[in-house]
Amino acid sequence: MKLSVIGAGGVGQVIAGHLARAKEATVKVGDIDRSRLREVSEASGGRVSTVRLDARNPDQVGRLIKGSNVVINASHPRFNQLIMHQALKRKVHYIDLAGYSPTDIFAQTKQDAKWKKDGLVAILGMGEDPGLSNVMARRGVDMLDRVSEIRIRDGETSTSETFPFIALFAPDVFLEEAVSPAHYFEGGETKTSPPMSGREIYPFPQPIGDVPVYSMDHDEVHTLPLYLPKKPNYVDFKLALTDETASAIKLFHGLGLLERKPMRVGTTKVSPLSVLLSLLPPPSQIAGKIRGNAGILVEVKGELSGKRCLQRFCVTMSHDEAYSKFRTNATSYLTGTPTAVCALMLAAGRIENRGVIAPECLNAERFIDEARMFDIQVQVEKTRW
Amino acid sequence: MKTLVLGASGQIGAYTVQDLVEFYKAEVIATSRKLTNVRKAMADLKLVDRVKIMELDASNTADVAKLAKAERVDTVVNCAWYQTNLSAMDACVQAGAHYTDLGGFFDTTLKQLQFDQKWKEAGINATIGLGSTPGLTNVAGAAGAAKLERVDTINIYCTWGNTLPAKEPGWPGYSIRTVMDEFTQEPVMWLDGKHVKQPVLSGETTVTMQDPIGKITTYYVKHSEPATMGRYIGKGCRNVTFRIGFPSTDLATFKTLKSLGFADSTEIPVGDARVSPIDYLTTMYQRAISKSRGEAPPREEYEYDAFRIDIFGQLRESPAMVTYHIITWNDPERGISSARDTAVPPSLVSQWQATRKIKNPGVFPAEATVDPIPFFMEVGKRKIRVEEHFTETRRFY
Repeated sequence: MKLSVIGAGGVGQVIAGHLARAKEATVKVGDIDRSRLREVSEASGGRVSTVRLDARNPDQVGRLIKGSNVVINASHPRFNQLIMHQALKRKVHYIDLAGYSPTDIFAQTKQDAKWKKDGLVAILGMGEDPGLSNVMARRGVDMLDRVSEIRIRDGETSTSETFPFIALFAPDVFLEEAVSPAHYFEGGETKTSPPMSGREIYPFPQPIGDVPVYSMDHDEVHTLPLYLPKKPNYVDFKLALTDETASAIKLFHGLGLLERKPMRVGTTKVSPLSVLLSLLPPPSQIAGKIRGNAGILVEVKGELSGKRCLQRFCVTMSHDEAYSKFRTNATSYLTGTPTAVCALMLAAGRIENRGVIAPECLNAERFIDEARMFDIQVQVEKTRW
Repeated sequence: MKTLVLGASGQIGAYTVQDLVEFYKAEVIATSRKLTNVRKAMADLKLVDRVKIMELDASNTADVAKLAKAERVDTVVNCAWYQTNLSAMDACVQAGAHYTDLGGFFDTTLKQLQFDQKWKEAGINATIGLGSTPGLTNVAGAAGAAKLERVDTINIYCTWGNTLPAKEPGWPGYSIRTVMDEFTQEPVMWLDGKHVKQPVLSGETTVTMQDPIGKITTYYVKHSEPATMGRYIGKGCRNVTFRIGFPSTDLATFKTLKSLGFADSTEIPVGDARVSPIDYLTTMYQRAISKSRGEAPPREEYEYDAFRIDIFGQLRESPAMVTYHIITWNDPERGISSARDTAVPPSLVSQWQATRKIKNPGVFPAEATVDPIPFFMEVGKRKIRVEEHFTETRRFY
């Protein structure tokens, strides 16, 4: 099995680590940052080969992935289309972690026929959420006769004495999501709500407990209504933000620190967002310095044998556990592991789907079983009335 | 009177120019480091035809002296950042002009006072630290001391806020650069007759302000009042403290900005460029201020700046306390924010210097040269409301 990973940040390192430990897997990792490449090489005990690569360069990407069975984009969603194009060209299966935008996702899905024709599969958004969340939603839907509502709640809560503001995945993506209008699906159409709206205190299972969550735009809201075999009437996504984080985000927004337009200061011209990002610690450097848990909750409501039924699927992991077992933070672990599970299943021929798909198209029961072997324990709670 | 205003495009400077023109019909030369900035500030306040506008860097002593001499100004008001105080004062000595500024953030204040002899010899007056705080607060200290035979302790508390339902994070009402300095530099208080350094944001105490503010939690912050008041109030004043009660949203804002590293001046790599975080933040602040100044004025009183000054001492063998409550709301009629409590005092003192109401040559803090009662009445005309409370203790034993 030959696998390529583009991006050796927090998530890329988790993915590469899992792939490196698999029998008969040859792993190549590309990144623009040499120190990150050194880290991933050392962590794998030299079992992965590394290449300095600029994901903006199609030739470099093409050269890296040539001869691979599967390529994973773990760098940034803005490179999805470029890497996907190279993968199709080189006849390599493709996996990414999230869409760059709803428009970008639809542009990717429109290539379905080409990928089917070449016997290839492109799996979009195969991380924690999107990713594992979609799979859990599919599992719930499979067990019902009819689906009415799907609610996805990301309950990641971290605190740190060292850092006043923590982003445990790409900070710019996180900040952008937080201040963009949120989308939800209702009555057959996608609707919009204001940024940081829909605040409620949501009851997650322990150890997370009750946390404040806010509406966010997320890939699941766009793909689930399209790809699920039984159509839900309602789909939404909310993300947990501690009051401190929510205030910090409102602060950045209010002061104009999220602007992308470059501003002249003295002899330099840089955007406020780039200055802010330079001051935020990257996710790969936070491991071991934070307390709290990562977790997702997927609630699927519908009907089974004439009775109303609610299923709650949940996965959690504490940052302490992720650090002591895997030297990473729980969010990076829960994001990168489903990707690695999917890549290994794909390379070993255990995924039959072809074309451009979302994670809810996979065999959910099989996926959840395989993920269990990588310390991802999905808990299920069923209620009928 | 003819006045040169430095830093006239800033948060305070523009309003100081406005006060000089509207209350004293002064001939004003409004200047700032960038001509476009001061032009916009004057245009926003509809003063373009009523003042002379020029580009001038307050840190360039030679240029400031040259202009002050050429224009034969009576007074100079420095509303630029306190790092320019010493160079501006130097220029005034060369030009023979009286001087006032908004404060020297403790260290610069003490340096400025060291030039007292030089200014005495030049026959001109510098009354420094004449904003709201320092400024109104120092004068209140002097006013209270005047009512007592002995002064033991002066405690000063400062807060601001608004009565809007939603507390959104935003830029502070004074220079973000100064805010970051306040959050990173150890405050120095006058305790037991000595300057004593304190940890950042220590000295937490709850104090009751007038309605609608009520109880606030305040912290020691580095400020100029403890630098000068112990010595210049006299009457045995052993303790002078200064505290700020930050509105909770602002406290969270400033703490977050500081812990992210925005207070640092060391350059960091941002892409291919190198950027000093504090310089970047300051530029953003200046743009935000400039942008908001042109907006439509609010229609009711909703935001305020408030101070409480407690002077403890003795009168007729008994303990006595004088308290000043000073509150300034935004002025809906004139469309001016509460920041005028900082912009008006230097305009007022500048006029007193020009008309020889303040005439002692030398360098002084406000408590030494400003006559409190006429001062309070004059600022009262701009709806900066000063209220005095006097408590005398009577012992029946």
